[in-house]
Amino acid sequence: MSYSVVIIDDEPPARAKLARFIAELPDFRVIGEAGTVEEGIDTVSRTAADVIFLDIQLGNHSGFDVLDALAGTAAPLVIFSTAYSEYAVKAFELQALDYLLKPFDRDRFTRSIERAREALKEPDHSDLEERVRRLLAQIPGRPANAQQILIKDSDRAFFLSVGDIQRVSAAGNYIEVHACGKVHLVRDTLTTFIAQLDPGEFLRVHRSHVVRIGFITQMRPLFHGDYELVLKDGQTLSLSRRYKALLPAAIRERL
Amino acid sequence: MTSDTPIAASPRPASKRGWLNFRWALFVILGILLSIYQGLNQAIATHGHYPTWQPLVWEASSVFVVFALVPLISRFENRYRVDSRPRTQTVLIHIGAAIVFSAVHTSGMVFLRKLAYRAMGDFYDFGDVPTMWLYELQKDLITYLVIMVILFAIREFRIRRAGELRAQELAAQLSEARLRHLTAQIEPHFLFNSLNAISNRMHEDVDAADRMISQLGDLLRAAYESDDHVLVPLNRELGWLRGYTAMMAERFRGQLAFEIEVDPGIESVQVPRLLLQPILENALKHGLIDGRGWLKVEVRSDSGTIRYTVSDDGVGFPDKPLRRGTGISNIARRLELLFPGKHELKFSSRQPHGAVVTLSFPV
Repeated sequence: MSYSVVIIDDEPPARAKLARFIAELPDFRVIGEAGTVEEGIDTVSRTAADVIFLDIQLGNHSGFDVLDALAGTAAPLVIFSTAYSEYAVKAFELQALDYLLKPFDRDRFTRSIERAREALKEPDHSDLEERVRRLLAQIPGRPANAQQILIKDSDRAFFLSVGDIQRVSAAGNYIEVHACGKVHLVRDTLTTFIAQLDPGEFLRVHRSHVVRIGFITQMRPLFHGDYELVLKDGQTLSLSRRYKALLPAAIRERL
Repeated sequence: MTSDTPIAASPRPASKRGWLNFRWALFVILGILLSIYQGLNQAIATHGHYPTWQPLVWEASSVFVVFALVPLISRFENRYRVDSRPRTQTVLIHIGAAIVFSAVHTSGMVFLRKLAYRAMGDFYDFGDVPTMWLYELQKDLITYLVIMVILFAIREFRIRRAGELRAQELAAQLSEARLRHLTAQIEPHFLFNSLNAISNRMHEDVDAADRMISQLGDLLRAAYESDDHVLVPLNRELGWLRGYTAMMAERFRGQLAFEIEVDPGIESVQVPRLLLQPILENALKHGLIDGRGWLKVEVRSDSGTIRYTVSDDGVGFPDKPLRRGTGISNIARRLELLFPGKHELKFSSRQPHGAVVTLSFPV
């Protein structure tokens, strides 16, 4: 069993270098290469890769455009490779998984691969998806998030105001949208649904739970560094270590 | 087949009407002051012999006619400049003109004096015409000479000042182009991606990687060159071009092809510095997006004119009128300063797609 990799970079030598490094690994194989944003989106959605190496500057476009197009799908792990980018520094504070600054050597590449191996062993990548979601929200020039969301309930379809949503939870093949004390059961995945929500207002606190920041009242420590969140309606949600690290510092301190 | 893309001409400087009015006012005031000064002097010199208004009328009438003629003389001098050649012909023309000037000046002056005297209920007598006319002629020749000297001095002053301003602006534009060039070569993307391409190439072909390192070295050296020559030998301009295109061809190997054609024997011709860099940069950034296609640079020499043609098969120019980037404005301005009215900078489209930039200047 080996992990599949897609390399997206507009310069052939840069792709060749990564491909050569990866070819030496027993547990990774390159299943696709792309030189433009369109090719990248196409390749990733066609191949269901485990990992993508993504150049941030793709000609006149940005590698983030690839992630944008993939938002709401079960995204692969992303390792950025970049020569230099003004927003890279800011974006990397949230590190999707890792980033390689060109030119990089084999040691630095190996460290990235080790991080990827660790992350791929975990059954749940939702925290990494959350990192990408927040990273994309930080990049200037993104379209504004919707104010109304179309909800297809069991018997009807209607628009729900985003301002009314308190939290969203996964429940098997469905998600529960809690709004104004009511619960709407929608056939959708959490990842797809929250792609429509503003990461500044809604935090993913667990692979199965997304909650409005203002709806959290308390954070109680549990064992092993895990926490419990108390919501305004009195319900509690667990907050794992991995997700706690994702909370913005300002919110961690406030709770 | 090509079709020209119009580029909006840069607007003319704002109207100079206010400044012109001011200069005319100054001219008139100078005339009045001169009349009064001369008149008073004459009145003091002839004190007691004539009523004071008479010397004033003599001088004012004379100065008035001279000043009225100065614009015509200026235009005439502009047509037959005193410093133009052949010298003998010019001198003869101006001697003739001075005699005509004297005739017009004297008759205009006498006419004005007769009018003034009649208005005062008196009669003006010019005296013995041939004698008086000769007397006025010797004075007028000196006046004409003085006017010539002043006109010449004003023109020389203007030429020198314009030359200084031009040289200053040229220096400023050139240092801007140099800064742009330096910035482009040490621009992080260019530098780091080039290093990354080298780090890949050395695993495939050590000699090729070696060449890339020396090309990158040449580019950086060219960028750090700090002399401020406006013109450089063509081979220096081409050295940068060859290094840059070779580096880009390596970075986009199999996607981007470059072709450089130079007429033989013109490598040492002096050409303006860094004219090609903004054009190439534009072609790669806006034309060959995604780093795919070909780009050709031709340097041709034709009867004292050097012509650069940069063509690519990229997306071409947009249909809307072009907005010049700062790099292109800079080369347009430098060409205008270096070769006013004798250069060409043309942007056209290629069929079925692509762009052609033509640039020519005299050498």
